[in-house]
Amino acid sequence: MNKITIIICKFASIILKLMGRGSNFPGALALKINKNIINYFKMPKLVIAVTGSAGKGSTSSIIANVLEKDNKKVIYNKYGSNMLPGILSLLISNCSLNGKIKTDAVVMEVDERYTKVIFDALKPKYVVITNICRDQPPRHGNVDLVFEKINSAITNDMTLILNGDDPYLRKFDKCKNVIYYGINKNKYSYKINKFNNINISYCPICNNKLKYNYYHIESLGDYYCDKCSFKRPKIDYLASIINLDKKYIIINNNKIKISFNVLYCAYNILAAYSLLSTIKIDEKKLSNYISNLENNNKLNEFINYKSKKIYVLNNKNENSTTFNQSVLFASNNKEKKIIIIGWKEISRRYKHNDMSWLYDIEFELLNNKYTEKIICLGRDKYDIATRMKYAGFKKNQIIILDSMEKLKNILNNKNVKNIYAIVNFDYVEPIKRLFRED
Amino acid sequence: MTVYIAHLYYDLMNLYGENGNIKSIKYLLESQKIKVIIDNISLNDNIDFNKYDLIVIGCGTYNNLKLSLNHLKKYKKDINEYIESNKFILATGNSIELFGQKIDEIEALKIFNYNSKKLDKRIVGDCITTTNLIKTKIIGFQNRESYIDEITNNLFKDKDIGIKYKNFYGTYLLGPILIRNPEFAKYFVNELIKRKNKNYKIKKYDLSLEKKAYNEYFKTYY
Repeated sequence: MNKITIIICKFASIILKLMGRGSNFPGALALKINKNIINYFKMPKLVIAVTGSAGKGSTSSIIANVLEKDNKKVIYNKYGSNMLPGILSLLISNCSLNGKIKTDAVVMEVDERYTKVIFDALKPKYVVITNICRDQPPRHGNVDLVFEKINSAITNDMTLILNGDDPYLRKFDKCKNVIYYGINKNKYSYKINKFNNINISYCPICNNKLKYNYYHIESLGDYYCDKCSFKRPKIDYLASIINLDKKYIIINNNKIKISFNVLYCAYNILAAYSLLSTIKIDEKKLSNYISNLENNNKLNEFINYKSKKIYVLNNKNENSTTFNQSVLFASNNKEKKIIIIGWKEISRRYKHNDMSWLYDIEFELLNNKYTEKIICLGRDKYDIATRMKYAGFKKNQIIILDSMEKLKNILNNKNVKNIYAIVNFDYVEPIKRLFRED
Repeated sequence: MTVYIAHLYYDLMNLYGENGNIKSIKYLLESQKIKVIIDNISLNDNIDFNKYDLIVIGCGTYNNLKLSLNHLKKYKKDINEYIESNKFILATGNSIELFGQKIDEIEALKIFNYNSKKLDKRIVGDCITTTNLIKTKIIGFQNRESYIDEITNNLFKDKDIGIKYKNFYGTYLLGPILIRNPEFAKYFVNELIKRKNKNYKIKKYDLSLEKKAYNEYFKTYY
């Protein structure tokens, strides 16, 4: 029966590929025929899972690409189909009829909510958890619920790769083998908390308020509890010199090029680096591989256009952490600027119109002498403008626009020099296009 | 005039942009030339209820709700007196559960008669409702995993999502409800001012952006 399921679904997958269609269908079909099909596969020795709220796509892509450069045969769900049907499709397309996966390694980006069923069956030896942050609350509820889901999928024989700068991730305390990565103090580190709505402020062991030697962003940094022994762990892979301006980081004396100077690019690379070094890829080689990846972060873009500097920063709506990273990045660049905030729609997945996450973003950090105007775009432009009012911007600084044409006119003004577009991914392309047309 | 506000458990009960309500109240009061003092209060602090005109508390995870309850329990008597003396509380999201009899099997503050229980399925989504206090509709959003069995003094027409007793305003509607509902914000802040000084001359508020957002919501989504 399993064999027949695999044959049918392989066939479906070939047909769909010819038609240039979806990566979920073969897996969904297999589940219809046999809901336990996931137990049929014989996995290779090296099974790597990457999960978390943000960054799992970039991180798993770096891992898979480096393994390939290192002459390993690897499969991974590169189109981001990270729920059960997507993972099954990946396995179906790459297994023999008796379910054997014929590669050296499987790298899986796994949706947080599917970790239990996928980990139980496929038993990844290595699990990277990039972070747990505020993300699509209508879908995920809250961070604790995401933690509980992932934690229920973790078994103590796994090796975890975690961001040691994040005290929240210390709640994963089942495994003996934990590899931590982190970023050392650098010129962007700060001493006094800048973010009001963070996920963890108290020691997970004794509930005493956590203290910090320095912060990187939100609750990330060098933390400790002054009542018990809880503190940032010994960091196995520490980015010791981080020069975001010159776009490189240094890990264990190895210089690695990064394509964009925001913090999470560095963290994604660190996560991938730590995992790859743990599975014994030589660190020198590894650093070269990563530096030469064509686009180790395709999300953001810097454009030089008619003596203007334009940063297009990609964010996820309903994920205040991604916006907070962009806001912090923009506020660290001390130059006069115009800021664009906007999105077409809050979510493609559902019709909810929650605005609460806008108040989890610390837009107040942008309210300084360097920000000249804030442009509010898209369907919810008045809600965005209202948020800017409460961030302290004056009425004449807030511009509400209903067309890209008008935006183009404003930006084309020769006095506009630096533009920071902090937008949802559905506005990344439309904004880039403005600077391409003529 | 000075209005003293306590933002309770600002670092625990802060799940869904609740500090937007503090921003709204501060802005509206200051636009009336009223001084506003906000104390952020949490687990390590003592609370002097006599000092405050308004207490604001937002949503939290189940764990943080329990931590807050643990800290707040010793003030049961003070809170009761505070509410009975017509002082203001604005509780949003699951924080209203603190003021009932029980949260699941855990004893709560026992100010009101309701019990809250965990649900198997979350209640998530927009919630458009009305209240007797103002003429315009209320735009709200819910995202919760628990419910309250029965509220006697309903704040909204939809039952068991809000409670109003004296100047206690509690609701499962989460996030910056005062910013999203400018008429409701006006009503709330006017009441707050009137309790301090019945004769205070309240000038017109500038809520034009908020009203545009409010109107646009109905145009776009309904």
